[in-house]
Amino acid sequence: MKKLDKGLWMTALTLVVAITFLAGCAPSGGTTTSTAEQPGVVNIIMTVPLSGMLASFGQEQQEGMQMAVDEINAAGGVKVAGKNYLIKLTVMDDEFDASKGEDEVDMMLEKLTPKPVFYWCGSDVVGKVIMDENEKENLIMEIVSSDKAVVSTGNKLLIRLESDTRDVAKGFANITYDDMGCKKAIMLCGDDSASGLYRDQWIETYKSKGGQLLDSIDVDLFSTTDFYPFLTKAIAENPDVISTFASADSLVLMMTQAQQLGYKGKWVFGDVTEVGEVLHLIPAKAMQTMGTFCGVAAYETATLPEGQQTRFRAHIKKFHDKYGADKLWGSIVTNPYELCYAFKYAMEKTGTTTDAYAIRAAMADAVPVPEGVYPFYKINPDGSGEYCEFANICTNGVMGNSMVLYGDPSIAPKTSE
Amino acid sequence: MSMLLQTTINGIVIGSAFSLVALGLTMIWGIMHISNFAHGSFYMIGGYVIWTIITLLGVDFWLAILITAVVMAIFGAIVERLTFRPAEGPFSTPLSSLIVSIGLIMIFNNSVLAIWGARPETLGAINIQEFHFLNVTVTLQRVLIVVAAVILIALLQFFLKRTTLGMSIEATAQNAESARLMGINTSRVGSIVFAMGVSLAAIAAGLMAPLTNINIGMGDHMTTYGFVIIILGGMGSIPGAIIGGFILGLISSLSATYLTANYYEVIVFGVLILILAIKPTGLFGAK
Amino acid sequence: MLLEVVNIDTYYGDAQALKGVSFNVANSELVTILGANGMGKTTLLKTITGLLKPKAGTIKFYEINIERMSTYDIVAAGVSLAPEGRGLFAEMSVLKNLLLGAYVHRDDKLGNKEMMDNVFELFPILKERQHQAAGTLSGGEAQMLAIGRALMARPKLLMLDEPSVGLAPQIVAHIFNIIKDLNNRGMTIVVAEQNAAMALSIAHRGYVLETGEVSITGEAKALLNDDRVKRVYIGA
Repeated sequence: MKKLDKGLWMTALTLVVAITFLAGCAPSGGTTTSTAEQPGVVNIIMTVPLSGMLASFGQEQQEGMQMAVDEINAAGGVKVAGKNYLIKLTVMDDEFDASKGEDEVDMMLEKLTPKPVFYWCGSDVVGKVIMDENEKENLIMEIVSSDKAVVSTGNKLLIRLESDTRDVAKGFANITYDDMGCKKAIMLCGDDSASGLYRDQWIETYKSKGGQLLDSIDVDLFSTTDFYPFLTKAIAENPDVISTFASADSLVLMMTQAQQLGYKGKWVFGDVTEVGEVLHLIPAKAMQTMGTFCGVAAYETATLPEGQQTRFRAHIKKFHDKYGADKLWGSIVTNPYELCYAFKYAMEKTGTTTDAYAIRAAMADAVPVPEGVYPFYKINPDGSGEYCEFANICTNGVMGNSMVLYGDPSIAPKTSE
Repeated sequence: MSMLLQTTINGIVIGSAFSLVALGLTMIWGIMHISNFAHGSFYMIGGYVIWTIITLLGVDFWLAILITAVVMAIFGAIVERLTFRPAEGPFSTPLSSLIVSIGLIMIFNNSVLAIWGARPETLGAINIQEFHFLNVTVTLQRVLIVVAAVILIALLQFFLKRTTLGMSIEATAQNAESARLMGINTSRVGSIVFAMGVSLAAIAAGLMAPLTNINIGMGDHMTTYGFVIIILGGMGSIPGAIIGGFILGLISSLSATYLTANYYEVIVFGVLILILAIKPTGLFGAK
Repeated sequence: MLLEVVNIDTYYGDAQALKGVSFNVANSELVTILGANGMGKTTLLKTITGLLKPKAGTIKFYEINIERMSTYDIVAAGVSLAPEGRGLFAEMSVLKNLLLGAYVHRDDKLGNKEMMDNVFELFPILKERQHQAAGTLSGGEAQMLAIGRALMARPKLLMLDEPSVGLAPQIVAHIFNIIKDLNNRGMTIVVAEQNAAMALSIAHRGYVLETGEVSITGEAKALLNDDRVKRVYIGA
């Protein structure tokens, strides 16, 4: 009996030591920005994955939000009813775990004064839990989710800006069949649920156009040891095109290895991969023989209304100066950045920092924000965001013209800056 | 026919990496009776270390492998000394080393995240010369992976069978108390074996690094497959780990190509259960 | 005294296996430890070789305290044990077992070669079987290998834990002859045995362990004639 107790004690001690170590090594949970003088404070809270496989995703959201907060505070903060307020951002790592995220939100709502009215939720698993209580808590909430069903609940304080994976999938299936002329396809994508949404919609649209799906292969693309086995199978079926949904790093490796195995067909990427990023990763020499591929166009390369191009470049430079030149710039960064500004303008317009319903309603009117860079952007009454996305077809390293992947480019704000 | 040949070659390449990983795992189990669930994490760190050496120091690939092997051996010995060894003290339970290894996974993952960030890294084109025969493609790196693995396995055999230090390792595996009575410092043997195991995993990661990307998740499969291999081959058995590694490589490659990539893990575990049903101690396990 | 054990207490977890055991061996002596199973013979030998650490008491070997030393240092200092159940490396050859016996002298290849010849002379059957796996040896051969391996360490004190167990009487006699012979040549030896008659017939002195304590001690001849010893261990 005594021996067992000692064992348990040791076990507990080991755990404590491990956790202490862990806490020391983990990225810091809470980040504070402002050093308040007399002005008031407005709290923004954020839960995003900052550890594990999705950490880069969470980190980019945090950086986008932080950049807006820093800019706003440096310019004197939010001016509401003659008083200045600085924004204080608190970010916690939800570890992509619903109950952990929920605990963190509860804790922040309880501990932070004044009570936060704006919450950025970077994981839909957490968001789907908080969604039931945010109205009660007077909390405006943005949920990063590729599932548009979440805004069908009538929640008045909910925003979902992300483009819907299925809309993108439809666009890519159309381009594959119509513009690239590929009639026999293989679907090769990750085995997670987001990939599954994309895959099913892509296949449905592609088949409805008359395309022939030779095979659909799910692979854990992130941690697989070697791509050869899957590619050997895919190539043996002799497709015109391989449709994928994978990170750019994995894709480039797959494309290189498929080429080694004799594949001469085309590639279509999902919206997780930008063409420019792929071009950046392929060695220049290999580019000339890389064949044809199509993916989401980065802002720099998409055909945009006049004036926007230069705005983008300036904006990306600002971001790179702050966080490093190797950082990717995409909607994951711009969404929190722009929504933070929308939050600021909405508070100034309504003259309140506490009435979430009034602020939320005014946020839709504040979009697009003048500081924004993503032009085709609007918050619908149900809380969903509206975009227009482009795709570019690239052949042997030469980028073709952008084409509309989905959405309506005519809703773009006319800007002359 | 050429597809079968291509698939077999694919399997041998992956099998080489699996064997090296499983060798370390089986030796650590055989000598120290530790189920090192952090083995895949050492594999992952090995990947990041070789990436860093090549990217920052601009060192040649093979020299980088050598440096990685040494650095990771030292790292493994330090980790063993600071974590597993204290946990083996008078209050240890069979759970102690399990808890230590799970703690290590968390520490390693978060440290890697803090040091290298969350974005995957790639080594770029290394040894990409292609050989084509019978409608089959092999790149130089893939040939070298197999050659390097075979040489390492042969060296390891020589070390264990022909050197005094190697014999003391084998003696400790067979009968630790008798080994102590021969005057062998068995905790030092433990450190050496742990260092070797970690080093082998890191070498495997280094060899595979040009074919895949280096990321936080790259070791997860390796821990699972490593344990499948050593259970299949017989816990603690060195031939079992080598043969088991190649068997698993071939199974994963053949099933991904001919059956279904979607469920090839089901097939891997199916074969494991089948072998254990026929021979419960594994292919080379002691009775 | 070559070995001096004073008031040793050794525990397995919470169970006390040795209670204040004192025990000594002089140079060139052959001492036997008698006792039934579970009385503490093996525990005493393991404590001397450092495999178990005593909670109290001292052990001196050549006037140096060894009770806190590691087994490998104790073996290097000259204490060698052929353990209970032989403890052979079953999957290794006879030759490798012997080489491992000489581990503490691993750099002295020449000396080991000489020692190996001595062992082969003592046990010619081991030379015949040198390439065979130790696990395939018969009981008698295995015991010879265990003793031979212990000798390879060139000990100043050789300890044997139940060398007769599981062996046919004529093989036991053969092995005890060799033990006596080794002692005659000057080797200091401790033999733990259940076979009291056989052990006392070759030993100078003996100790009887009962439930972890020394109950009787004295000259071998005296013990042979001791009623208690006779009744319990010799069955006369």
